[in-house]
Amino acid sequence: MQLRLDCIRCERGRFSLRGSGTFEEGVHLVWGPVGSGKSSLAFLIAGTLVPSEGSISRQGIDSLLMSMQFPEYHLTANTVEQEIKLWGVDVDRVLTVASLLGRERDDPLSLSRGELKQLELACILQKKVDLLLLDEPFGSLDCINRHEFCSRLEGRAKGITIIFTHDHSAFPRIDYFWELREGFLTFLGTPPNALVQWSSPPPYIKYLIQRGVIPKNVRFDDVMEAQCKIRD
Amino acid sequence: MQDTRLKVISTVALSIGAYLSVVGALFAIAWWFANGRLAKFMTYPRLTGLYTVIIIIVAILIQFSGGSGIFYAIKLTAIVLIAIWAYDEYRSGEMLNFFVWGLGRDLGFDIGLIAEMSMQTLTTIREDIDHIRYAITLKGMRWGWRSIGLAMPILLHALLQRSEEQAKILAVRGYRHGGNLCPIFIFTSYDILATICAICIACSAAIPPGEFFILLH
Repeated sequence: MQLRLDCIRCERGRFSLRGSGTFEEGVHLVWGPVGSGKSSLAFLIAGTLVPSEGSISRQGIDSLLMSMQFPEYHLTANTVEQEIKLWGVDVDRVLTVASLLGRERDDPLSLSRGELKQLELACILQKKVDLLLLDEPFGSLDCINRHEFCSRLEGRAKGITIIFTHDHSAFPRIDYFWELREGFLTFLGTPPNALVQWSSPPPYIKYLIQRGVIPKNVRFDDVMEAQCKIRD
Repeated sequence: MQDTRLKVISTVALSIGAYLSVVGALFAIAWWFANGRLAKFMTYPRLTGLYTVIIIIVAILIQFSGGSGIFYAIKLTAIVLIAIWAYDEYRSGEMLNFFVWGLGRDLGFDIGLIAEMSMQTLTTIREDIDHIRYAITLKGMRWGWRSIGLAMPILLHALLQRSEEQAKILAVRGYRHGGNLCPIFIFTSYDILATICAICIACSAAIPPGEFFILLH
């Protein structure tokens, strides 16, 4: 299973996005500041945008799902229950995971953006797909839900998962790191070495690196473990 | 064309010319061709197709009900082409510049701000529809009349939510009415020539050629 970007180029107004790379099975983090082209890259990989140059090829990938930044776009039903059924997943399970038990008959548009995001992510994570694209999955989620989502994401059996985010506050275990620098997709490598290559790591990781300790990964547990090494 | 004032004058003049007479409409189409917009228009194949189908259907209906469908088709084609040209030439911020120049920093600024927000909304609506359409296909549904019905409330909700957020931002920043802005316009001799031609087209449509020559006598 492999996703390959071959010298792609996409122009939107004055902004230009370029990059090459191969995405293997595992969890990839594409980090970039606001306006760096993360959503454009996600839509390019999803196939809704066409690169003006280069090509994108998928080998062994039969199914694809993308979670868009704004959960409202995903709505296609008048009740929460219908919405879950349209995803073709177990209603009770999604309601439990999304903390929406008892709200089956509610209009999805009456939910807050955070609740909508939880609903959408719960549905998406129930699906088994080869390529999962998550555009700003942590947006609108509170701290507890972010960590819960990270745990559930780590439970995904196989396939390629790509997280596009500018967020620094919570991460699952990441296998491959990428960064968007001035419209160019750069592969940073695998952890822990990739963390040193990261131009704008989270402040707590930056602090650890400055103290000479590189965490194994970016999960909360990994950072805490590295923190303990400093105390030693 | 960079100067918004010339752009607005040209758009209004050509629209009037195309509306008043078939000759004016033909001149407006010629003006559009002279501005090299054909290639740009062809980059909107869906829009081109949609307008063509609508114009043809209405023209046929008019023709069969005793009116002149061909004249209608020519006039409307000219108006649509000029409208697409005007939209395509729009650059962010120029509505605000234009209305402040025309109506001052109080009323002009308010109208300009509304116009600017409306133009930006047109862009976001297009993106919203693309996203909703993609979300529908993700669930294995086809994009059709039923899904358009599903998309409408979401689109409306997104627009209302965005409007509310914009209103709150303006209120938080202390906006009441009016604002300071010094509009700057850049134009070339070609822009002036194109605008003069557009005004001439409107005049030729408004004054029948016979009367024009009598006036000369």
